[in-house]
Amino acid sequence: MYRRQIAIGALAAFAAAALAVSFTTTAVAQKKLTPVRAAYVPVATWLPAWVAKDKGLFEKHGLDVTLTPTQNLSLLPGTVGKQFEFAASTPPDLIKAAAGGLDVVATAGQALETKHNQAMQLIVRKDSGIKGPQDLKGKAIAAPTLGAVMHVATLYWLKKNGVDPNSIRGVEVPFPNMGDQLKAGNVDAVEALVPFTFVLLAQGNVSLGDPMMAVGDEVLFPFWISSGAWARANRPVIKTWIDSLTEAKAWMDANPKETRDILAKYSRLPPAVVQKVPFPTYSFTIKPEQLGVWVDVLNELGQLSAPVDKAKLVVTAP
Amino acid sequence: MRRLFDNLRLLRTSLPPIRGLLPLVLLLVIWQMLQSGPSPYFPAPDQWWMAGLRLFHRNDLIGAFEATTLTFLGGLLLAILIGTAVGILIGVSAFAACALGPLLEFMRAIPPPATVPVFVLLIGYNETMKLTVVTLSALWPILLNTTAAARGIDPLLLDVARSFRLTTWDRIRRIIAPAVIPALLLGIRVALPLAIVVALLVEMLTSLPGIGAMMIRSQRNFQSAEVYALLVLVGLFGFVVNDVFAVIESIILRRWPPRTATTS
Amino acid sequence: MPSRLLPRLNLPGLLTLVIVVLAWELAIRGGSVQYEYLPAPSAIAVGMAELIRSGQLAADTLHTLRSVLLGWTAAMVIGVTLGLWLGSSPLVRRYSLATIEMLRPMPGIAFVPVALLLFGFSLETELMVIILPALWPVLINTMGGVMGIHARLFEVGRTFRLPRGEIIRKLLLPAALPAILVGARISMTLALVLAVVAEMVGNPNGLGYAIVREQQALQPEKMFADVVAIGVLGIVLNSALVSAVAAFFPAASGRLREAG
Repeated sequence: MYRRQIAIGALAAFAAAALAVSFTTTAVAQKKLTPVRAAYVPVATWLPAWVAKDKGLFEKHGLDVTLTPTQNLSLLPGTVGKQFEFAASTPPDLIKAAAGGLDVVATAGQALETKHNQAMQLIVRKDSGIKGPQDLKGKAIAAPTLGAVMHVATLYWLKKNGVDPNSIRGVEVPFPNMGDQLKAGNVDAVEALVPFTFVLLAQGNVSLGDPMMAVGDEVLFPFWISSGAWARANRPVIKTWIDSLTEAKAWMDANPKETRDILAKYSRLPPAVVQKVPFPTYSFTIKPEQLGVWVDVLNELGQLSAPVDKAKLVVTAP
Repeated sequence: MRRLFDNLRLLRTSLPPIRGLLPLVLLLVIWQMLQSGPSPYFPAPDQWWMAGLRLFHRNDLIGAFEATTLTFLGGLLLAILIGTAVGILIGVSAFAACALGPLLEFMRAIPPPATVPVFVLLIGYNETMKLTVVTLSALWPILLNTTAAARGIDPLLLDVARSFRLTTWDRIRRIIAPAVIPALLLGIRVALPLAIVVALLVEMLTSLPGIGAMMIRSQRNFQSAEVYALLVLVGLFGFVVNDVFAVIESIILRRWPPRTATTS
Repeated sequence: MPSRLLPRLNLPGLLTLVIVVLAWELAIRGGSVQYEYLPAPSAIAVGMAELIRSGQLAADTLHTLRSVLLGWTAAMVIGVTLGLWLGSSPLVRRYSLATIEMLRPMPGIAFVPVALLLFGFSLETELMVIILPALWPVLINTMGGVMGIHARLFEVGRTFRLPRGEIIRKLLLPAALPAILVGARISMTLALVLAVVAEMVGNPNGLGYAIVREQQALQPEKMFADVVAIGVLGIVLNSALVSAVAAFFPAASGRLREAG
């Protein structure tokens, strides 16, 4: 009596499985060059990789690089070793992923936040009456991603200045919307990044400074991660990756005008903004100490679920 | 006394039996047996339990659960009120269907994640914004079902009602309600999980307090056991909500039984 | 039940749309609403024209359309099959309904990390996010449709000594059709929403990703043009489905009368 029904059920399950299997990806064509797949988010920080790709510098070093834009850095640690060899990341993302048991490591540097070249600003309305960290107690702060590097830095800065980070109400606002949210009074302060800081300051808002400086000067900001297993087996490839980016940086210094054209092509920002975007302080090597600073910050804020050994966070060029 | 027994029997027959959880339990047991060590993506179910307890002891689980529940209930209630009113209007009046149709179709087609930034801007980061987005998403199944049912009402019936000079209230009670209520219940049934999902989605996108925000936080901290624990909680919540609704539905359907399919 | 929300040449409907758009334009021109993020309809139209000229809009729309159709078809096949099965068998229903009620409210977006792990940033991830939630309206409606008319039809089937496969094909399916079609319509809308969500977080392609891309590129006019394109795509998909049903439904209802 029920055998037929079970057969129908099995058929349905089979149909579902067949559908899932039939959507398989096409294999990547193999060449003499070492194929490397890298993921980034379309912001100016990753410019050297775009330049290296556009100017054939990767190929010159024996790499066949595919660059894929993605929406959000925070999901990338789960994709290295499978879909990507290199992925863009930031210190808290990598450290939390490692604490969560993922086999991910930092393989190459990208940019540093320094006293003389600050990419981040914490910005408030001019009429808000907020003059410093102590005025932010209990306020709403807009972060691009809660739990990510800029919000961690802000919370740490508040804590160092005697303000309880738990009193802060954090909401997520994409950079381009921060100005409107500040204006509408929905948030009291925004964690902004260049070039968005220019727009915000030009609208008459004021900056409370760069919270990242509370973590340190020349502090590690964005960098490249890979899967641990892949990185340990492919140190020479990591070296050519770093060499390509270093050469791209030299090319950028020599060709400022064409560099802006490449920036416009990949970021699709309006021309006026493209001309104004300042470049970060690039540094393509990476050391465990640079991540150790962030491990301490996360520990201090109680954001780590398991102890993390900074020495195991980095596998880079020999 | 007899009435009470009747109601109890009704309760029992209108609920899906607990043994229906068998496939899910089997799956979890197999999962537990296959997954021995810790895993960053597929942790064993016993670890979900531990993670759930940790979340509970951190004291913010109850508050988050409350926030999500309130948004869900409020949004659903508004969706039912608006969906029924507009649905009947469109179903009964051809002109209203023409005038509002394209606008409603357009609004329906715009996904909630795309509307969140606009509502945030116009309303702010608060409960009202969450409520608006949930209401607008849960509205459509209710509206569609109500419209279809109201349109199915024989115009002759309404003419007869008019010639008998029935009051508006009587017309609603005797003609519109019996035709619309079964369809309305079907619409709510579809809208229930939708309202839960969208409430979670809004919380995920804005990090406003709630289970959704907790889920995304756990996800970003790579605490997958916590994510699964929260998913189970959401599943249980949906299950209970559904059961409660099934009881309400069977009580209402006893008063207004659905008409046979041949009338459509 | 062939509901036609979009009859040909709908003047009052167009007028309502025009009034809403004009009010929006005036609110911004008049200065009562002034946000960078909220452009006037005229600015959105200019952004739309640019996207059309560059061919970007066509490419993005095509990707989203393909994902929606693939995901929706899969959800329909699985949903109708399981719905027929559950609807016609009380035993299967007893041993699985509670599981379904448990799984239904789980948000598809929460599975994105697992989908990314299994499939990466790809169409497969997008389809997984679409199919899982889009399945339920079809399944529930099909089941409800079959259960609603079941008992009497079986008697008819038995009287004519029809084999079980025939009963499903000739009696159950046509009788459940109105309910299935309502499910199909809800599922189609849901599939579009889910495709956009998936493209915003899991698969960098299509109109959903275009929203993120234009937002990051500081082009709110183009971003809203993409939102409008999603709305238009939704209307086109929905009216295509409704007219397909209108062309197909009379036969189904005829069979329905014969069977009843």
